[in-house]
Amino acid sequence: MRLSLATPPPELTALLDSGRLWRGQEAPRIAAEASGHARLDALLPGGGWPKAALSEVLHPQPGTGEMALVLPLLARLSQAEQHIAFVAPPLIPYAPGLAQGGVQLDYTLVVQTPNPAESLWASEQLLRSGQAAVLVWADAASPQGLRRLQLAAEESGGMVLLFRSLRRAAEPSPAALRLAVRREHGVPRVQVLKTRGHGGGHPRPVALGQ
Amino acid sequence: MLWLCLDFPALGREALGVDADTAVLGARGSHRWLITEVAGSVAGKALSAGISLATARTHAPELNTLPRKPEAEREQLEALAHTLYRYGSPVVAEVLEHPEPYAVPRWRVSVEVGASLSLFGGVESLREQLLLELLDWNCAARAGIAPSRLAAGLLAEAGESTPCLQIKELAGRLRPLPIRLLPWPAATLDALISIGLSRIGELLDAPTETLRQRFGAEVPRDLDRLLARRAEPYRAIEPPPVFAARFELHGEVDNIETLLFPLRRLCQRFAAYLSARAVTSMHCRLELRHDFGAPTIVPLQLLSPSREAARWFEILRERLYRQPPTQAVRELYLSAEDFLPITGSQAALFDEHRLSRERQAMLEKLIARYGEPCLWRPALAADHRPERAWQAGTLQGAGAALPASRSRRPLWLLPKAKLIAQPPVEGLPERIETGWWDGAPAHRDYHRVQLGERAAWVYHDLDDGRWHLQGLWE
Repeated sequence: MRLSLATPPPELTALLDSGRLWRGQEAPRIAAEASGHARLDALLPGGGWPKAALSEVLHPQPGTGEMALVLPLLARLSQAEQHIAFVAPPLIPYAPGLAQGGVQLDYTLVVQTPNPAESLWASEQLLRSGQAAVLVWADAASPQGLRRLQLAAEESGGMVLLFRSLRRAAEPSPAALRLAVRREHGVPRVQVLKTRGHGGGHPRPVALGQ
Repeated sequence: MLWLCLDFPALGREALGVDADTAVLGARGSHRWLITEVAGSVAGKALSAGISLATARTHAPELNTLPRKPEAEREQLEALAHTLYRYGSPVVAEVLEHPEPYAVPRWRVSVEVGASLSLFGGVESLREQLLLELLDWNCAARAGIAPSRLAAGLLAEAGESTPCLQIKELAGRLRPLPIRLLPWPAATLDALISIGLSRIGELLDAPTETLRQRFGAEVPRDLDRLLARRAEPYRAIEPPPVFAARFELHGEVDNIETLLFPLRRLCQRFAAYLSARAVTSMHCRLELRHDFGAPTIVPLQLLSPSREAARWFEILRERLYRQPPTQAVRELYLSAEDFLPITGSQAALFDEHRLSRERQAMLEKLIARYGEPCLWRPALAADHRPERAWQAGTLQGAGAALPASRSRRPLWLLPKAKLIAQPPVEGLPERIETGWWDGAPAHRDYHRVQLGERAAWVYHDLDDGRWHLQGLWE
C-alpha cells in the first residue's frame, strides 16, 4: 500500500501550518511582514521579512540604502503600536526623517552599547520582552551569537534585522534571510543572497520602491 | 487568640550568611560555645548547639568559627517578621535567651492568625503559604500553632506540626513534651529535673505554691502563660517609616560575585518591608561602604513602582557589573525613603499588562547595564537647525506632537557635521537661517549630493564658505 500524503494527518498539518516543516515541491509557508518594496517582496518567501527569525542586511557602509530598505517596515510596525529598537546604530537615527517616513517615534528606542557582544545581549533581552523588531548593528558577531539571536527571535516571535558589512557575505550564517544592499548609478539595489526554503538566492538585484 | 510561631534554629548562622559547617560562637567571660548546630563536621555527625568550643575542637580541630552578631540576628529576624505581616497581626519577633554561658538562643517570630484564618482558607493552607514564602529566604524554620505564643513556640521547637486550635486541648498536647523546651535558666531546669519533673505534664501536676516557693514566681507564671490562662506581654513589630538595612561582610570583598549574596538578602528585606507596610517604591539607594574613604553610592530609579525583590536585585546587580566598586567593600547598606501606596487594582492591572511590565523590567535592566544616557527615544525638537531639530527623548511619556519639517529630511544624522571638500551640486538649495538669538547662528544652504556610494546631506556655511557633511539620506 502506498502511503498518500494528499490529506496529511493532523499532526503533520500542524507542523506544516507552523512553518517548521515544508514539502520539497512547494514553497514553504512562512509568516512574514511585507518589506513595502514590491519587487523585493515578490522574491521573498511569505512575501517579506520573515517573522520570528533573524534576517541579515549586508551593506558596504552606513547610508548605502539600508535605512530606506527598512523604513516601510518600521513605519508599519510602529503605526500598529509595535515597539522597534535600534541597537548600536552607527549614526543617529534622525527623528525628523523617520517621522516623515511615517515612523511613530513613541514606539522607537535606541540602545547604545559598549561592544558587539553587548549589542547581541541587549537585542536578545529586547526580543524576549516583546519587542516586535530589533535592528542591531554588530559587524563582528560570532556564529554562536547569531544562533542565540536566531533562537531568541524564534522563541519570542519577534524579528531581528542584523546590519553587517558586505564582507560578511562569504561567512556562513544561521539567518533565515540575507540581503545585500549596494548602490548602482546612485540608486540603492537589493540582492537576495539567501532565503529559507530556497537553496540559492536571486542573483538579480532589484531597486527599492513600490 | 491563635498564634503561629516560627522557630528559626539556625538564625544565628544564617544572619551571618555563612555555610552550615561554620560554628557561630557565643561568648561570656572566658567561655566560648556553639550557639547553632554545625552540620557534618565530625564523620558526618553534627556538633550540637550549646557545646563548648573546646569540646567542638576535640571533634573537629579545623572548625571554622565566627563570633555571633546579635545586631545582624535582630535585623534578619525583623525582616522575617516583615514577611509575616500579611498573615496577621500583631507580629512579634523575639530572641529568648538567658545571660549565662552555654545558653542557646531561641529565635522566634510569632503572628496572631486567629482573625485571618478564613482569608487564607484555613489554618493548614495558611501555614503552607507561609512556609512556601519562606523558601525564598533559604532559612531553616519550623512552625507551631497554638492558642498561646509560648505553646506555639514549644510545639514548633518540638517539631509538632499538628496545630492545637483549642485552649482545652492545650494541656494535653504539651504534657508529653520535655521541660527543656521551656525558656528558663539552666539552673531552674536542672533543679526541676533533679526532683523528677522532666515532662511538662509532671510540672503541671505539681502544686503551684510549691513551685513558686522553690523555683521563683516566674515558673507558675510562665506555666499560666503557656496554657493561655494569663496574658503574654509583647512588643509588636512595626515597620519603621523609612527602610534601611545593612549587611556587614566577613572581611573586605572586592569581587562582585561575593557581593551578590548579601545584595540578594538586602533586596529580600526591602521587599519584605514594602510588603509589611503595604507600599511600593520607585527609588532606593545602595551604599558600598569601604574601610577608608567615602562610600560608593549607587542610586536606583525604576520606571514603575515595584515591590519585588527579584526586580530590585537584578537591576542593582547590573549596576554593580557596569560600575564595579573601585575599592574593597566592607559593608552593604540599602535604604529607601519614598514610598507609594498600592492602588487597589494595581495587582490586577499588572497581570493584564504583563508584557508591558516585562518590557519595563527589561528597560530597567538595560539602563542599569549601560547607563541612562545610552537608552533614548528619537524625538522631534522645535528648532530649524538640523542638529537641534531632534532630541534624545526620555523613555517615559509620549513625545511632543510637533509638525515634522516640511522639507525632506534624511534618515541618518552624523553626531557632528564633518568638513568636506566642495562637492558637485545640482538644483536649488534649502536655505536655513536661524539661531541669531542664542549665540549659535546658522546661515546655511543645504543640498542633496552624491558622495561616493552614498546620498549625502551637505551644507554650505554661508558665513565661512566651508562645506560640511551632516547626514545620509538612505
